[in-house]
Amino acid sequence: MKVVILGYGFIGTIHLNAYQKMNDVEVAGIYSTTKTGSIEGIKVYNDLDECLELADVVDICLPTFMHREIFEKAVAKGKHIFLEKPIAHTEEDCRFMLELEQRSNVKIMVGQVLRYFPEYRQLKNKIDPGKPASSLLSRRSQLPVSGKNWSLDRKNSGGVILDLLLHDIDFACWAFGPVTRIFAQSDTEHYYALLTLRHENGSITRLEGSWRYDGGFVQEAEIAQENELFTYNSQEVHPLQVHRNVLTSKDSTEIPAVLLRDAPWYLELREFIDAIRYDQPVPITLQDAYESTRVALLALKSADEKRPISLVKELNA
Amino acid sequence: MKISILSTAHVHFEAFASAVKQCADTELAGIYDDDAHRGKKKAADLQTVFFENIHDALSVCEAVVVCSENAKHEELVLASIEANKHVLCEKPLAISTVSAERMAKKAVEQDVVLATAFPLRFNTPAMELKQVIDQKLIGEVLAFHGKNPGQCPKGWFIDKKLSGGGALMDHIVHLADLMRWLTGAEVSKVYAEADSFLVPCITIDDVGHVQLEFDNGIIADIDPSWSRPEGFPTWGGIDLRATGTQGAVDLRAYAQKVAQYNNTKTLHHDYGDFEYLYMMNAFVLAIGNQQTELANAWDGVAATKIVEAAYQSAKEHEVVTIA
Repeated sequence: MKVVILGYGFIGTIHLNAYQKMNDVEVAGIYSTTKTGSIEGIKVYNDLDECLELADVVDICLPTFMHREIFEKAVAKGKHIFLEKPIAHTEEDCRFMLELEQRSNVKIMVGQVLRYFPEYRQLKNKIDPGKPASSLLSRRSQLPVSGKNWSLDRKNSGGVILDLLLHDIDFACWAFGPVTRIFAQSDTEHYYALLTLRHENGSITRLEGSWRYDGGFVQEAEIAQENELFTYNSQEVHPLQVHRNVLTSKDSTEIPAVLLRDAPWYLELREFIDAIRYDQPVPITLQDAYESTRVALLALKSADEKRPISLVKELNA
Repeated sequence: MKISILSTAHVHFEAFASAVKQCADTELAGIYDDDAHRGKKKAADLQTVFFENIHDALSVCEAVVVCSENAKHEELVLASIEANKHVLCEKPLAISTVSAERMAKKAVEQDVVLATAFPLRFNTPAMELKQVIDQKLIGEVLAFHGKNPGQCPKGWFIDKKLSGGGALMDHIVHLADLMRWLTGAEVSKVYAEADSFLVPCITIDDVGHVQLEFDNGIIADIDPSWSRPEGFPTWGGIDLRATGTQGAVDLRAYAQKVAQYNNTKTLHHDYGDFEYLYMMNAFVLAIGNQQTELANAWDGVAATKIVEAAYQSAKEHEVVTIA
């Protein structure tokens, strides 16, 4: 199967690494607006149409605000699509893409990768789905500095809520079900946010997202149910830590250290490729991802308007 | 200074009693309790006098600690102030703003000290956090993320007539006061979700998620939930992260522990400083008209307003503005 990777930033690099472990996948090209030549022997294209021609499957790793346009082209050309989260940065783009999907015949999967982190899977499997939960989810890192800094611009990325906290919002929707009420606060730059979600089953989830944390990347979850408490903090479970006495430069975009044979990014892409190969439903559909993306977009609205947003009212309006 | 303790109902009674005994300037004059059986036992444990009549307890002291059920604070505090005694009252000062304000005004009229017991102001790591913030080591504070979860204290705490409310009433005020103390800012807006689903067989709120906005724009949240099951190795904890323009600081106010494991359970033993003792020292200094970090009655009023707003918000599902 021939895959092209569209966009070779932070996440494109990780995806290439994952595909290189698959015997049945050939990365036929990489589309980049900033790079030229070749990467690990794979030709880099600056012309999107030329690159798309090579592919059975496209993997969209471009900045969020470009998703809609690229997605439309890929659907028009009948390519299977792996779409990096978030789907898009506006409700309008999300709906446009959902409509395109309705009329298409291709496999489309969204990379809500936290669902492939075994610690989050454990939490989801251990909680009692019949009982409401009270949760604290936190995700913190230093300020990510990407090539064109698009992710720091709230207009293009949705800021810390859509770009970073969406991981945990998606987990909350996945683990505790649909959300009925949202309240969000953020700083003016949208580098830091606090959210409370009320779910249909009575669960309450509170989230903290920060690009203002220089204490090392952390993902954290604390879930309480009747007579039960689950806790997880990525900084307390490092299985290996290297301490060097030389100065090293840190990557600006921090990700959790994963010491597993199959990294979550490999698992999600492997399942997507298998869904195409065996013509099975994809594990995370555009509609699935839209549910949590919409919550994140309404959280942005709540933060702007400084009021709680009821999804029931929003739907009837 | 002779101090009587009025009521032994609250779980912090032992901490107050040890502080009065340990503090060089105070002496335990005796104990009054409207539950004579409970009061006599505690008095015997501490080798002090038990008074069945509150006026007898007030006649032998210069100041009191009020350590009753929340709903009885006002009655005991007002009786003490009328007897011209200085008062250190367990938090929350009152179960409603009007009640808290009546107490604060009465103390002003009688010119006595009415202090609210917010021991975090004397917690050594929290005091260090104040230094970090005052020296602007993290720049300007933008946000607080606070957790004060605990085990359900049961007993009168889950009886609304005596407690005034559950987890929100019990646990919002510590962090709300700490944030006010750290920044000098006042809470202007409150949003909360609350429910009762963690502790079996109770109907009072045991889950709370509270978001605050201060009048200087700082945003904050607090988890006051009784989310620690009975098998949890300690009563709970107080964590606060302050995020600023130039960094962040993580406070774990009760992290100083050693762990003990045996065949059936895990226990945590605190080794941090005993903040009730430093709070008691400050109470004595405040009575002597000295400037201290002790929370006064108006700090107690402010914290009560936040709790009241949180309950209102949880009911109405709207942001509540504090005037």
